[in-house]
Amino acid sequence: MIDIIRQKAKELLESKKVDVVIGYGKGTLPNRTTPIFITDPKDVDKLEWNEYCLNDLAVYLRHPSLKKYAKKAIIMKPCDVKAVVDLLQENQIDRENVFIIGVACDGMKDFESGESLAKCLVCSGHNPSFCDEKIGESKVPDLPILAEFADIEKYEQMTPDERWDFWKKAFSHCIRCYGCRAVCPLCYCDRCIVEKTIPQWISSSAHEQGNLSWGIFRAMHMAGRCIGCGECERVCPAGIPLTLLYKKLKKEVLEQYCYEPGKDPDAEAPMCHFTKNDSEDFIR
Amino acid sequence: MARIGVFICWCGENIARTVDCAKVRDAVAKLPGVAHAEDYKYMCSDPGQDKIRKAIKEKNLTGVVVAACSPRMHEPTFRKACEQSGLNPFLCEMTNLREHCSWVHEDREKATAKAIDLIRMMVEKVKRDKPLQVIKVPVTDRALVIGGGIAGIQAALDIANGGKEVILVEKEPSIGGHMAQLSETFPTLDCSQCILTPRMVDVAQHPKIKLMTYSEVEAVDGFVGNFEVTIRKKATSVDWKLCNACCTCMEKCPQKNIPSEFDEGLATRHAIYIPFPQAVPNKAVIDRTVCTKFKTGKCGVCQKVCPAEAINYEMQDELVKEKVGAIVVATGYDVMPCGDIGEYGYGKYKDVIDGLQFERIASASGPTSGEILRPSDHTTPKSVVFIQCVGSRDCAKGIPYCSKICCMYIAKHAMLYKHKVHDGQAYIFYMDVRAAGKGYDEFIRRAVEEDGALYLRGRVSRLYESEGKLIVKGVDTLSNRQVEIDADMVVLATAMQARPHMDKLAQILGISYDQFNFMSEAHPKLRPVETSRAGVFLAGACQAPKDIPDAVAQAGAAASKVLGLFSADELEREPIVATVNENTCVACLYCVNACAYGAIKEKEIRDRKGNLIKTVAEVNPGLCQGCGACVATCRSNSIDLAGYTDEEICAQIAAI
Amino acid sequence: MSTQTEAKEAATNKGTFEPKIIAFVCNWCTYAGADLAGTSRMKYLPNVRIIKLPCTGRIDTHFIIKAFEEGADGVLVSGCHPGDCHYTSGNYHARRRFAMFRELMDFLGLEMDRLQFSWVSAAEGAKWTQVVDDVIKKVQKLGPNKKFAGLKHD
Repeated sequence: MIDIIRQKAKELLESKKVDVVIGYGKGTLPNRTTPIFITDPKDVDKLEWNEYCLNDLAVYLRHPSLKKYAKKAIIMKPCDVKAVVDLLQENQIDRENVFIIGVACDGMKDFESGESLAKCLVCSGHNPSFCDEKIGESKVPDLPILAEFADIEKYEQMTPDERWDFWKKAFSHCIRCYGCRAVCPLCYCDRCIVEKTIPQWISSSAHEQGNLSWGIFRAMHMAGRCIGCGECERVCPAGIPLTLLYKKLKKEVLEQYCYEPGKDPDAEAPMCHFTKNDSEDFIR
Repeated sequence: MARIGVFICWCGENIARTVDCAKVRDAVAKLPGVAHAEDYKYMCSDPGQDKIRKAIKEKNLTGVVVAACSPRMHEPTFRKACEQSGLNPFLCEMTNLREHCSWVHEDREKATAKAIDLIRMMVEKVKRDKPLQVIKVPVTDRALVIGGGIAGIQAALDIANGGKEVILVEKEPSIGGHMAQLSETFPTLDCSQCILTPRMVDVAQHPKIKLMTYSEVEAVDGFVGNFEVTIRKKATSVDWKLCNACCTCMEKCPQKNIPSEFDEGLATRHAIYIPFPQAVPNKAVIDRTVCTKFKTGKCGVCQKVCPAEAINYEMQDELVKEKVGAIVVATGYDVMPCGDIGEYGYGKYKDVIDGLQFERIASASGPTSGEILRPSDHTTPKSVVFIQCVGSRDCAKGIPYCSKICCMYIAKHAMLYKHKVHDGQAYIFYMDVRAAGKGYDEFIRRAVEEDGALYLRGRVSRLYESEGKLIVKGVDTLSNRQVEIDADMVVLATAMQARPHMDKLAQILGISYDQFNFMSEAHPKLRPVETSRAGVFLAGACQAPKDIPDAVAQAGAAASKVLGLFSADELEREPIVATVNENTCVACLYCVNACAYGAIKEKEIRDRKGNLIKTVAEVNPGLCQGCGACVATCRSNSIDLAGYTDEEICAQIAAI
Repeated sequence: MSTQTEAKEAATNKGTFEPKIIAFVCNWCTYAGADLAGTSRMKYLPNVRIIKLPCTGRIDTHFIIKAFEEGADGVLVSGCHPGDCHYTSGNYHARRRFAMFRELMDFLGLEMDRLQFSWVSAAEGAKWTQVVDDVIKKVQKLGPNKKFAGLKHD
């Protein structure tokens, strides 16, 4: 498959259809891959494709350092393509300027342990659908989307006090490195709300209150948008189970508004639209 | 450096009885940034306002908090006082110590503590308030009046005579409303149609009034001074430019037993009809729900016989858009259907009728040509029982209010009956007699003294038919006796209620309405014709039950508000509008979707060479209504609402 | 624990805990409804502090979090009934936002009785008093908001 990918990249660069190809290259440690940006057709051999291509490269589509490249090609796993769909929905990229090379995926593995990533075990789409070029085919069966939410149940069944203790402890380890924000394709605000000081809604200090506040805000901002790439949790040095929080809201948005993020760039984003019949059983 | 002045009002005893104003004054004087604190008995009075003006000048105040009644009451008053002293009026805010504190709590200590908390929160907000300038927008000096009853007609005429154009929309084929159905009006016993029809003709002929009947308002966009209204002109199936009311179509129409709405079901009409002979416009219309041609495709007789060739079965509804600056709602009332009140036998016995049906019987142009005849056998009733408060003042049936007009019109009915049936006897069962208007009590006395109406203070428990008579069983509480009357006819004074679907119309107009679907006025005492939406006014019974003199007065009041609105070329709007921080906006455009007024658009920022630097969202301050939905939707916190900025609200919360 | 929280703890033990409830209300419906309760001289418990906004659409979830962080024991959010919003659709947007926020806070373990929502129209003075009394009593039973107050913030 890697040969087909390299060939396609070469074609796109030689024909000047794109100025840069964003893909995965070999990392410095065993099994590791790293994002690379190929501009010279001669360098396409640097591109890799294996079961350790973990990064969600969509974050580079809007990255200021790549602004100089007007047209971009990007190598995407089917799950990562959802981020591109969201970015299109939110006017962050032009469709004509992005060439999506969708690569079929059998599931990714953790660099060190070699075990399948948790998100891959509940994957509902191993083959790309929204893309400009499809490469490869996966025979791994797709699970229904509800499989994604199976691990939330355990937490929903805890008492409120147990849940509070769990999250308070989890967020108490946060060091406010903002790695979650840096790696997320949908966290593209030039001035994040946490950096606003007049007024300061979220304390920037890494204490319990500031961290929980940051956690709540980010979760609310991800509602209806998070595609579940899991990068935030993967890079978090404090091991906070962020995807659990975002999945909870993804489940609610699906149940209450029948909306799944990352499917249709023309769909109406749930948090800035409404229907007259939205649920309101919690309002007296 | 903030220098805030806090002015605490006693409101006479209203606040001071429960809140320790002196203690509050001492406490707030110590708050950081407060340069002046004083209390006074009546802050809104001239000497009270003087204290504010003086303190602003002497203490160089940068903001003012008036702790008194609700801002909905006096915010404009105090803002004007501040402006007169050179302080931007938007740096003056109010804290509600009356409606939200002294009037609703009894514990003096807790109410005082709450007052101090509320003032402290507002002081923190005012410290961050920014001076704002009013926004000027142009005004379209045309008005829309919805409803062609007496209130709508009066409002339209008053506005048109004031020199401004009016569009009068009425959903029935003719204007006139319920007043056109009445026989005579109290307290003068003027013939209703005689005083109404000249006005109807005035409306039709007035050069400044555009009459659109058989039409309904479907949508209203825009804001005060600049509304765009979508009106549905329903298909009449008759070309009104050609129809000359010769009535040939009606003579030949085979569908002839349709209960006439105008005659309250006591007579019939055809599928093609003119509602009543004095209709304005006097043109025919086809009721497509009962017309054979529209139901089965057969017939078409009217088209064949019409000498003017005016019938057009292919006519479609037309949607028309009109630009207006003000809207007057005058949709009137309906009477409550009394089928729910089983004890009075309405619908069961033909001779039990309601007030409007009696009006049609008494009316010279009605189904009995003005003779009082029983609907069942067309004989003259010798004894008629009138029952007041049917449905009204009855919590069990859900209508707790008084319908205001029934005492007067029942007395009128008793008099009209007696004038036509000299040997007849009228019995009136009442709970109270409400006759508070000019000449009203004297009118009731005439019914009793001159026309022999017998008033029985008590209610009717049961009514049943026996040998052609209606046996009415009630009580006379003043003589403490049970009463049984063998009546020939019974007239029920049914409750006055709002027209159907008024909640939908209110939602289209964006105004408030109450649990009975009457439209809500902005303030029950001081703003009886305004609504919660600027530019939309009320006239007549759509607001609350009322009689003709009050409806006409209210229509004139609404017209004067409209003419006041149109008196300037530009309207001053409150500057509570949103603005985008173009440095931080990333143009996700969520705000565009959140805005109900289309006030936000995408904007490209380009350099001098024309290269695109970035795209941002942009708010049109002329369209923005200041709801702030966009602010709460923005993730990057790049949009803010003047008057309710993030900084101001954050400070208010931090001060709890 | 701060002195404020200690005082509240002591009060709870004595049975005299007076919760502090912040109410974010819209100007056109609930604020006017509360005014009506006042003009009608209806009585209710004095623990609520109202913050007026033009519309529930303006009410950001930031406000609610900040209110809890600043010591509120309960938060009430109230506005116009759906379909009656003075600004047409502000309350529809707010409804979705609040629905998701509430799920999130529930998942994090905040007691749901501390965060309440209502639609109170300008004609519903009586409903306002009932809603306020109900929220205050429920929060009184739960005691002071130790969860937010217990978060280290210095």
